[in-house]
Amino acid sequence: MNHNTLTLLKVQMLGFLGWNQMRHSHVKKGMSSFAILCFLSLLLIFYSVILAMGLVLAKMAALIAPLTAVICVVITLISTLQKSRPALFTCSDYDLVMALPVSVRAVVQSRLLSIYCISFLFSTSFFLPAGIVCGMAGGKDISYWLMLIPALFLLPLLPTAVGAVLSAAITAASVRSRHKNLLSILLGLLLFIAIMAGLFFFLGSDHPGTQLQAAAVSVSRAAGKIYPPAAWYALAVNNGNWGAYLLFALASTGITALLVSILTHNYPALHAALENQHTGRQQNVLQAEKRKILSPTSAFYHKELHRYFSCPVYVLNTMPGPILIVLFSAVLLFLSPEKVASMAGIPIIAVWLRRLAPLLPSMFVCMSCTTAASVSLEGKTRWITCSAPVSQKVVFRAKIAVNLTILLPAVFVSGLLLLFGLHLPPVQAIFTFVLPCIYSLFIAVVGLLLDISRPQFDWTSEMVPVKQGMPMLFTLLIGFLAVFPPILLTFSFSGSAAFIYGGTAVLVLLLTCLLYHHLLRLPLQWQ
Amino acid sequence: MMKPMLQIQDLTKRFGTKTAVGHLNLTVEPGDIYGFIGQNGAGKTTTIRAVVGVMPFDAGEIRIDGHSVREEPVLCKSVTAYIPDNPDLYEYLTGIQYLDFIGDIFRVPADRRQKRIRKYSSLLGLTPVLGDLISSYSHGMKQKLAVLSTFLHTPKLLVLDEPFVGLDPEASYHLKAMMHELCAGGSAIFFSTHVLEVAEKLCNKIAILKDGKLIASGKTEDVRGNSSLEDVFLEVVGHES
Repeated sequence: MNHNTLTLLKVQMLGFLGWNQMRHSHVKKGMSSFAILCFLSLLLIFYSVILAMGLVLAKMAALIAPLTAVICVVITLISTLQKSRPALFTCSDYDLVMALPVSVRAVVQSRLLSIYCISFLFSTSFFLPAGIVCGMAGGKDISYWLMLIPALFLLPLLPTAVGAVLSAAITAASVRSRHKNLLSILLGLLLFIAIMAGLFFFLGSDHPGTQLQAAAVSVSRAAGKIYPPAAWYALAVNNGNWGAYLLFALASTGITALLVSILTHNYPALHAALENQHTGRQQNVLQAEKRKILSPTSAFYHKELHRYFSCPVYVLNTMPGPILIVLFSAVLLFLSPEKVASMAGIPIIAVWLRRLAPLLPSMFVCMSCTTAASVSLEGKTRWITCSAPVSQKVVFRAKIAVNLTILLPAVFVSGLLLLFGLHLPPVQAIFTFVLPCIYSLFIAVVGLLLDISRPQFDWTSEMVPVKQGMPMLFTLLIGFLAVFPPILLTFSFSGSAAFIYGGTAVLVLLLTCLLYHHLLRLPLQWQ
Repeated sequence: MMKPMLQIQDLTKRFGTKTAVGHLNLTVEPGDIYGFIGQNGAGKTTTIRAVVGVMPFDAGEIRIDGHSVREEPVLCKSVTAYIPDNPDLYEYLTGIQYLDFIGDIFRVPADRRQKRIRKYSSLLGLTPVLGDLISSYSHGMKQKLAVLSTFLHTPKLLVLDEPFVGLDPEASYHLKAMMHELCAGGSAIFFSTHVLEVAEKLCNKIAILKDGKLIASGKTEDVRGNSSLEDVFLEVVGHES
């Protein structure tokens, strides 16, 4: 790594979460993002400590290392898959950077390092606390601690490189297609589903019907199969085996270096291919009968849909929610709640799955909000919307409609699957459709309100508003907080579920109306 | 008496403590091609953005065709067309999709839309690329597409910020012809430019802005007097400090 790499990295990190603007502007727009980042890190630390202490109490401290390692790898891999394309291939400062007297290697390294830094933060937040609990509870010697600290840096290396190369491969596979973005989205979603299915298979298939302890052992074994470096690391720290540690370190650094070299070698060609748009399908575009005349609302809606599907990171960030609803509901169609409870070793789950049926899809719905980045994504093109002769209601409705278009089909499919899978009584069945629909509207309005209140237009990569934007993070948090109370109430007052669902529906709908009313009173000028 | 197409009264816009535009008064009549010139940072783009309703202003009034931009923004926008200095368009749409989007927003009937797209795309040499994504266009092609989109709906007021930057000579020639044709139909054009020769030849009225204040305005021949516009411009704004 040379000076140029670090200089480029510094510039990118200055733009991260608006930190530089926070330092040099009277508008403290980065402050809330920073607070959210701290909150997420604290949440990971909390989960990590709980998991580690649970395993120590269950006398399974040896499982801490492989479990936390594999969880960090999955977090890093998924996060890198989502960030790589915008950071590496669709950034608007590519020409500027490539025209500088720096090597391609420095450019690629700086971009990968920026992804690595964010992954490192989350990975360390999860890995380190568990490692400390394990070390202290197990009375580990000095070699454990000497292995733990470098492992913090080594662990996210390989998944970052693998994620970037997979993302490049998806980009390369889709580059020849006229609908390259759509193909890229499909391949990305397929990969996401494959990872989820793989995890489900490894977690669920080895020991059906056994208790949590056996499940943890199976996860640990699976970790070794899925990601051998995690097993080598576990062997090293649990047995003080420096040979295994060396293997882990060499695999992490060596394979990463190799993958980065491959990526660097192909980077300019891949970028050039991406920019080389398809032409030549001209002869019929002017035929009037092939084009529809739309109302301003429909025109904005179609424009928003095009915008959504043109941005893979946008889709990959918001599509997992609806996909997970459908996958989860499909699993319950084929596996009874009793079977799922037996696999998890927690019999009470069967009862709660039925009781919480309307709230489970609602939870996934609140994870998926397209509107929270929709205003920021207008970026430099916002002059078109601002100067268009339409009221802001038209623009807002179009943005909300896109969110509903993404969520409602999944809500209806999952509702049907849950209805048949869980054999729900009529009232439960109705709320299984109604509540997620209301939450879909709620989360769309909340996201839009937050984004229009604090839009970020000066981005160089779509990843900034979609993945790092404060409105997106806050919307997820509010969504979580909105679903949590009815879940808690259903747990506490199990006999009054219908009243709880009814009350929740009315309250959330009322809140949505109030927020929408407030939204319409916000100024249209998006400066 | 004819109603002014654009009337700016006492317009003031501040950014923090800096006054970008101060107490600006200006009237554009139907049929005018009104050039707006000034140095970088003089407040031209700020004024233009306030006129088209993209930027709120602190004081004063802007009326388009008799309607207040502040009180009836949608009505004002429906008779105005605007091209910014750097027209960033929706890169994820094709050229024809973008034109249809603008046509839908301005409710341009299908037959009229079709006729105009054919006419102007052929004139500007855009027809072969209308099916391509805008992201594949050069800067000049994007500029041409933005120009084409503004002529889809026959605006009463056309507001352009540096419209000739990036256009090839042939496209510039056609744009000038299109501007004359539009104004002959009773519309008005208000545009900023740094190309003083273009302003001198094309505009029947000129306004010169310096540090957010209007320092000269009126008919081109009156502003210019016996000198060239370049000499006048350098004399009034070029010799500061």
